[in-house]
Amino acid sequence: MINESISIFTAVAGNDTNSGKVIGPAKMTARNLNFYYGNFQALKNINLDLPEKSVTALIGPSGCGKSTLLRIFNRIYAIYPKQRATGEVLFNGENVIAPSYSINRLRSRIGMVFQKPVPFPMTIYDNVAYAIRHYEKLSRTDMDSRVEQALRDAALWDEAKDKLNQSALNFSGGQQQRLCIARAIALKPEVLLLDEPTSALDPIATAKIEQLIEDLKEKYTVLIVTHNMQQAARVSDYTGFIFHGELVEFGNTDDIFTNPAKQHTSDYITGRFG
Amino acid sequence: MTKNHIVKAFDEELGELTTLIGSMGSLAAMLFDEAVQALSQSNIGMALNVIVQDQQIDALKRKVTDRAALVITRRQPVAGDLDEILAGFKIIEDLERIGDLAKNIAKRATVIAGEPFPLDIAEDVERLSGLASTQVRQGLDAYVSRNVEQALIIRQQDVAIDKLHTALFKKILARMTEDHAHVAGFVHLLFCVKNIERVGDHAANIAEAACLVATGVLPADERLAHDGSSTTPPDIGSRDHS
Repeated sequence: MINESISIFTAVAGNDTNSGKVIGPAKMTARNLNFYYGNFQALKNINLDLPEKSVTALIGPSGCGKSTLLRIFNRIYAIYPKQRATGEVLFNGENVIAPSYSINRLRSRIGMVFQKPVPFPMTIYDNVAYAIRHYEKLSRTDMDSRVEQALRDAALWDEAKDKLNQSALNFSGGQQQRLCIARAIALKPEVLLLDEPTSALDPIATAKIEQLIEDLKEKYTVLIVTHNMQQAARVSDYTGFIFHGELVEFGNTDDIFTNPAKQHTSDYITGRFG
Repeated sequence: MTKNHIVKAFDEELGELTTLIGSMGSLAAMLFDEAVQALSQSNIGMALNVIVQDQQIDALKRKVTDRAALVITRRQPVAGDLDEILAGFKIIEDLERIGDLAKNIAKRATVIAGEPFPLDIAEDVERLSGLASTQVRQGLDAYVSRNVEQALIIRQQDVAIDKLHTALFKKILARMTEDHAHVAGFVHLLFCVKNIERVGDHAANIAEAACLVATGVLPADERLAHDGSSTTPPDIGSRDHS
């Protein structure tokens, strides 16, 4: 075992960290979380808080379990019969991985954006309105307003406002990814999960998404998985390093990337293994 | 750091920076030694050579800066790698200053060559410069070998230089009041011994940068100045040679 369970809980509630930044209250909390693909244990006793209205990044080598962890937060795994999680993921005091917690309710509160942009083969407007219609009955005016606000929040309104009835598939990759973010935030979620959201994008599109992430944290709690460590350093407030299914280190991003507490973290972020 | 980077060129680039900084340090230490030698032996030729060679230190500093900028651009270093580069920037600033101080001593050596300084003062200048020179070389060794224990000792040893400098300052001041014919020479000598004391400070700075490279943090405690020359009263005369 790399380390004993990391008690993030002790760091929450206002304790100072190396950089002097104070970790805010948790929006979501994983407690004693384990995850299994059949008999294979992919995550081991994860204890992690996602500080509210902040960006938390998960880093680690391929196969370490970071995407698995991200996907537990909205129970994506539930559609696969041999995958199971034990422990708790607390959201507003409720355990969202308990079977009794409605998946529909969960997905409306916790949005997710994937590595490859996957716009629906429909108009830009309908891409954003689709999920809203699933959850809410809005008047045309209210829907228009909601779609506009989502596109504005996703920094896409200026590019989309004159093309709302055109196919979303005509958008560039970067625009499609921002559309997916607009689609996710149209439901007014409280948490956004971003699974390598820029890995398929060029540097300019990546920069726009990174700026968007910076803007989004004013309203949302964001959890991002990224292979790009400079991106984690740029966009996140907190970073967790995962290795072999264990949370090796969690802390303020500034501390993790300038003076990590664990040698293992240092070796990874400086490119000495991976 | 024990493990190598996956990208070998990164290790090579960091190694090259350390080597270049080591070379710059060796040159700065050598010029400092030669400047003091030129002063004590009234060797104008050696002094002029120091003045000219200081340009090589400046050129090495530019080279290290350019290479470090390239490493930052290419590798985007973090954590210990970033500390290593930041420490390198700190050290070359100190080495450049040591070069400047050596050059200043050399310039003054050409002006006061042949001045008959008392033997005890000459011996103290030699002792002071010997301590400072050792500090510079050992500080560089601690940096190159990432030896934090050695670095902390060097940092501590700056106290001895400060105390000897204070005593020497008072001694020179006292002689000045007795020997008015050579006041100008003593003034130049006062500047020289102050420069030597400053070289000791820069060596301590290098030791602190070595701590940063070895541990990721600078020493937590403040380095106290023990140089009392700036608070020495003007009426010291011949009453106090301590």
